[in-house]
Amino acid sequence: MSDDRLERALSDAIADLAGSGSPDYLDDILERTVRTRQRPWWTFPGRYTIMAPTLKFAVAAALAFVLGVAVSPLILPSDEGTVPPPASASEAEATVDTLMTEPPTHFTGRIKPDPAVSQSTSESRQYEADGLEWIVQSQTYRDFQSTVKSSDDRFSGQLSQDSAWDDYWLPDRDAATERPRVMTDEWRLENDGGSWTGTWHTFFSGDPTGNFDYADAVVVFEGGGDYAGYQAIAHVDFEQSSSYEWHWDIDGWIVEGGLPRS
Amino acid sequence: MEQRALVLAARDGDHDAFAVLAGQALARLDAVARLILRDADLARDAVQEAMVKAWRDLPGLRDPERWDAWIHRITVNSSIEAARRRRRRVVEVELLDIDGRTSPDAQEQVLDRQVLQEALASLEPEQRALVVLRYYLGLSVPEAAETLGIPLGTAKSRLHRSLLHMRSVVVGPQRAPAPRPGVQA
Repeated sequence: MSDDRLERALSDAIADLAGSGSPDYLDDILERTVRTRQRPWWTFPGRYTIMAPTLKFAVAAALAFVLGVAVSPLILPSDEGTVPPPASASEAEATVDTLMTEPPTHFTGRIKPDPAVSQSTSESRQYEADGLEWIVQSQTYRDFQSTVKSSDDRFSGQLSQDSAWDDYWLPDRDAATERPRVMTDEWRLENDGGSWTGTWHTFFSGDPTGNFDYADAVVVFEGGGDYAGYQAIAHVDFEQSSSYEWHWDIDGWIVEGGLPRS
Repeated sequence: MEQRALVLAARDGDHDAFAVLAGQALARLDAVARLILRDADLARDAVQEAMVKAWRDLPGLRDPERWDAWIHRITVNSSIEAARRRRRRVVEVELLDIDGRTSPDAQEQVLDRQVLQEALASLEPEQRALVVLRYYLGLSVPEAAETLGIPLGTAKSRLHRSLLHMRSVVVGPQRAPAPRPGVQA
């Protein structure tokens, strides 16, 4: 039996099995649903992304403000009332050389997946405690390729993404949809000049709609190659325009010498 | 009223709108659950659970255009859960009667279907769910992967293994009785 014939015969066989009868329990369902209260929309984290345009702008503005405040002492003249510490002219010049060769550079861009998707793995481990079964399903994506185009050539190029996550089917939760997920992403952006690598972690409490909302995150990237000694901090925002078309919008700053340390 | 308007109304608590949506989807969802579970009573329970969950959680559905994919996902997951719960239960496979008076071609076709139904029944529930989404609902592999909440690569390999297994049942040198779902688990 050829592949085509198998698939055609399979469709027919399944249609035979499915039959064409109409179930008689709609009223039973509606009797149950009419007695069931709907959960308020605001208890679903995914619904908040409906407000995304304003929310995203607010987040981006806040991020820019915080960064601006953080780096302003490096690029703006000091206040009149501030007494500089005693230092020789050469020491002052050395400090400036170290910290102020470039101001932070803002960039925006987009990360789009390439057609080729690499390997994925999936492994389930089953546990039992007090007679209740629960399952950890571990999955990985390796070398998932994307293309980054941004307003700064230094932060453009090919992005490889390794993702790993564990889903937890807990015995006291609705395992079909309400399963927590712990996820780690490792991103490495490469171009002719060098590379940027960033790792970030996400926790999803489990969305009853069955969707995991990747929403947004702030990622710190370390520069390599020509970008050694630089860091980039970026707000990445997952956007899904239709079921299978998605991208990340990215908005960030490249900072020489790295981010301020607390 | 078009489906989008019905979903928006139901999402805002209009139970009559939900009743229309449920009525439109019920036959399809019932068939999906029966195909996955191979048991009409379990399928009925799984669909009822899925519908109650859909009504309860409908305010969480962001995109009303995704109603069909969403309700499919809830129903498939509910069915897989039901299959896991009844793991040690033996499920008899319904077979078509082969009418000896049919022509050889027709008989071969019926035989093929009978064997394919056996092969389908021998799959694990997760594999069967994928086959049902692909060949009954006609979803693309990426759509089926999204519905099941699994990576595309996993869906592709799972579907490939399922078809290989079914082919081995169909064209194997000797047709041993197909394992019944749940017995070996």
